[in-house]
Amino acid sequence: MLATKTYTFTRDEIVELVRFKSLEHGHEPEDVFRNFAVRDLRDFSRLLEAYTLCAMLPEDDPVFST
Amino acid sequence: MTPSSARSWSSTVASLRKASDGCLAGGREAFGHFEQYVNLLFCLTVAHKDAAIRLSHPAATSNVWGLTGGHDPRGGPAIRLTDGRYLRLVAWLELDMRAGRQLRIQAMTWQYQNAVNDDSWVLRADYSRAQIATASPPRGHFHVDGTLRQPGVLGPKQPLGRVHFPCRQPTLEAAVVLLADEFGVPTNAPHEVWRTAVAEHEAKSARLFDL
Repeated sequence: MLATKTYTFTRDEIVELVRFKSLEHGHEPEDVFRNFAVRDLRDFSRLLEAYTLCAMLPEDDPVFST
Repeated sequence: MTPSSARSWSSTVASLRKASDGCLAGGREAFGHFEQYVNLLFCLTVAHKDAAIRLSHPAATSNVWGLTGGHDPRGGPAIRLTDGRYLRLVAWLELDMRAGRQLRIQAMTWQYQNAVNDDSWVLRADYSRAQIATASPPRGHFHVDGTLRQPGVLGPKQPLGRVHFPCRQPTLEAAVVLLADEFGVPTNAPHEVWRTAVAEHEAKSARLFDL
């Protein structure tokens, strides 16, 4: 068996991870949140982790309207 | 892990079948079954003994979970392979509330690459139900990092790696077959064991994409 872990993230941890993953790939986190909100998943492969985390947040989360 | 007799893998194959059925049963438990399925599929095939995967979900109730390679949420999402290279894997999973809480792959990317955390990639499969960008490519497609032998086929600013080769569902079963058969990545279970398992489950896994 492979080693496995399950992580449970709070809303703030999710937002922080999106910021980390965005900056890691040279994107401004605000751009990633904004693009996700309109489902414009640009730089798809590199940012899919960030987009998946965004999808865990409610659609009306304030982070999508900044 | 070393190749061994088919019999020694029988419990793994049985567990794989159970996990596969659990994925299709839907409901919140399907996320765990999917993680178990991916775990066992790679265990049978191309995963290094130190490979790892992780499942992530929000504390608040949500129909969205993520499955990625690696252990560390701040690390690269890569599964170590038996050939010393890596498969970068990210899957956005979602329960479809309009379809009896069936598990769906909303988006997925897997990429065969030389190192754990850089751009030394060989090929990649991307899939997204949603529009990826303004000029949207096919929902399922492949990229290959390389150069064409024939000059002038692509524009000067369009490397081969940015060409979207259409495919339907880039399943993980397709990934392990590609890696084992075409790239010679060693498998843990004997050929007849893992090929039989992949053949049994690939069509079922394709239903999670359900274009």
